[in-house]
Amino acid sequence: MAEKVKTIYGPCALVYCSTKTGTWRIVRPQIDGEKCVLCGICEKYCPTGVVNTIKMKTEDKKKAEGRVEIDMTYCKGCGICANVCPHDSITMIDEREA
Amino acid sequence: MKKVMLEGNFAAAEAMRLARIGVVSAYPITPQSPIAEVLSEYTGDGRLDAKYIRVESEHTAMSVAIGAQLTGVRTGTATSSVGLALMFEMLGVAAGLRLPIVMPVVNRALVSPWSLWCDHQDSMAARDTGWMQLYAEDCQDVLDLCLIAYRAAENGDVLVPTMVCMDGFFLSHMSQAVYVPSQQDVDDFLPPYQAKNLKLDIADPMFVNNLIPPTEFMEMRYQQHTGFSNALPVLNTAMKEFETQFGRSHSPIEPYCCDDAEAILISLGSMSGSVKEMVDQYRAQGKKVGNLKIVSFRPFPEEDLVAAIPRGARVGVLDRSMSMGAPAGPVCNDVRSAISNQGLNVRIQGFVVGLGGRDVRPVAITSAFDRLLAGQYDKDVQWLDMSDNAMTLRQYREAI
Amino acid sequence: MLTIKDPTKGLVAHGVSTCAGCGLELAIRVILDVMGENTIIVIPPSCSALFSGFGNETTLRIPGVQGNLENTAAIAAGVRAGLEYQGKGDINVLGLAGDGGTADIGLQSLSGALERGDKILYVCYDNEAYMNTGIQGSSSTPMGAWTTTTPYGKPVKRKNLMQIVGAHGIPYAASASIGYIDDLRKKVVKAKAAIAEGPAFLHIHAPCPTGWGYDPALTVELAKLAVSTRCWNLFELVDGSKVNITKKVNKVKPAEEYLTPQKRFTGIDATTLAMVQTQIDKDYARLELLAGLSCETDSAA
Repeated sequence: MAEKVKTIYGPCALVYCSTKTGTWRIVRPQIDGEKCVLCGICEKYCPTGVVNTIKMKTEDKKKAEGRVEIDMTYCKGCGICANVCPHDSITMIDEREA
Repeated sequence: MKKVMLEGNFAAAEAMRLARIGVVSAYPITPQSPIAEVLSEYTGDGRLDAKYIRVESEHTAMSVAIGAQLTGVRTGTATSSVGLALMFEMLGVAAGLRLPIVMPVVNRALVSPWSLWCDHQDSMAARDTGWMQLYAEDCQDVLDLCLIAYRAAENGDVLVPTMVCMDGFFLSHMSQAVYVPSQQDVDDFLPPYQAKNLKLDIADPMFVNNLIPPTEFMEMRYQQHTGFSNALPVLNTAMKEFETQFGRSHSPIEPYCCDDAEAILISLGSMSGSVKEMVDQYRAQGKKVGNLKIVSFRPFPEEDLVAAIPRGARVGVLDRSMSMGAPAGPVCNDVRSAISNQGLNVRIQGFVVGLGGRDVRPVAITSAFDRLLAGQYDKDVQWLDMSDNAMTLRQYREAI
Repeated sequence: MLTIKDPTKGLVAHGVSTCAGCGLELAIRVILDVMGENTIIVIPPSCSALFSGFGNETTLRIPGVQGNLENTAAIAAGVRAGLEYQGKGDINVLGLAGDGGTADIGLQSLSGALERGDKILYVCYDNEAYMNTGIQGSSSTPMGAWTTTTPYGKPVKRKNLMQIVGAHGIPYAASASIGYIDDLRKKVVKAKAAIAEGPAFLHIHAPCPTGWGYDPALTVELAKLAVSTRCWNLFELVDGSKVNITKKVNKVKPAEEYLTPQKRFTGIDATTLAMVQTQIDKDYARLELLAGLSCETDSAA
């Protein structure tokens, strides 16, 4: 696509980007795959929107299979996911021990 | 083009209608109210195709104008006095966002004391907010300067909002014969508005007016300064184009009988007519005096102004406001600065006249001219046509 | 054109300089998820301005403008007017301001926009003080709470913002909480639909770990506790008259359970606590009464 440079005067932001807020973290969430039922509540309540619940299709509809991924580039380690988890499957652990 | 009797307020509203403003947000204030009223009438009866937002304050009036203009619409608002003061915060936003909003300002004194009447303290208090300021001498000026203002302000090299100032009551409520151009002529002069710079557009997202670090702030202010540097030649061109289109000439400064003048009074706005009348009377007596009217106070036409003053002439400035704590009124301070910046050594006498609705009477003008002609100079600003009992206006008896 | 440096799943960047555990950050993601990219946002200088961005960088993928603290509603009204004039009335205009920018300094321009019927969605995220400037008290700070300008606890009760908004009789207003995301989402959907008719208003409880003094992990838990102690009630106000309580609290907990985990209530004395509890009970009783009244009106009609 042909482009040309256009100058804009005055205050505005033209780049959509993220701060690497993961560097703030002093504790990090650790998920116990055995306890996790992939209910998605942690994803719903994560303020940074970095929790992704990935469900696989299985033959037995009652049994959920899959995993929960957290983007550690941005996770601030607030601990809300661990707090809202109804199955105690998330533990906040010290970054230095991680 | 037809000639109709119009008060200054209506001349401003006619210009705004002819400029096809698309969003109107005006809050009524004496003596500007007729502008807010007539624009609502125009939008109501279809003479103006615009959205009329009946705002609850002048602060909101300017905020609405800014929001709407960012979407790519020519907007219209007008105010006066304390209304302009309430708008103050948003004046800087309009200027910083480079939105070429054109706003008639009906000059009225600021509080306190309360006054409903004319002086220039309101617009002078706003002179550093980054707006151009044009001052009208009569009702025709009001209409013409508004149209010129749109043309100059919206120029891509300028993008500076503009106040078109008219003296409260003296012009706003004075009926004069005004040539009103046809819509076709104005359409030829003023193309439809386009957002050339910052904008709110779903198809081209940007975040406007976020926090700017010290590493960029000065540069953005410099961009505004450059807009003003470009403004003067653009304004001159716009005035020449206006003359071609409509046959009336305007200029950022207008000298009257200055070429051979021994004494010159510099003035703004409606009082310039009175000064010119006195110039004629003095000339009839063989006294060489002149008037230099500043139309564009911002940008300040420094070079042209200094060039219009013949060598050896004595110069005084009639300020219709005072810069408290400064050597003189704001216009005088700027003229002194211009003279010095152009490498001249001329003493400029400061005068304060016509505050809070007081007429600038012949007695004030003659006393100023006579002082200049007599070679009298006082480094202190002279307050003209004042009561002798200025310092003892109110007294009462108190038990000892 | 906006350069997309870091892709995201929604319209808000994942790395934003809000505090860890920020209630507002949770709210804005839900709001923009529902509003979609056909939306222009107006933000005042406040915690929400962290989303406006800094320098040439923004964390929002939609067009936006940062106004001043007191004129979010006014600028939104202007944007709306400009769009309508150009025949672009299908674009949503959203104002997002805190309690200070809404209930205090911004109340006048909000009232103006609501009275005029400007078709905007105004969201007030309420963290109950001026957090971005350093935890100064607002008219939405609850009684007894410490802030840097109420160092001995706020001696008076908070302003009833929903009642003020309701007095304008706008098509849709609702209180919501980041503790009840599904409820919040439903209300944003309703508000989005309502702006076809006139203004919509959402008052969202957004706990602030930094200002309230609690472990960031408790943000959602506290938001829920505020509701279950009736310190924050979830309801809708339709056309300014019909009241729907969207979360009935039957087994109410004492206010103390909500207040104790927060450092800002550490100094609260028994007398103030009793006054707080009395006010909570009165407010809820009144809300139930109003909900009952509007039900009767409904059946009569």
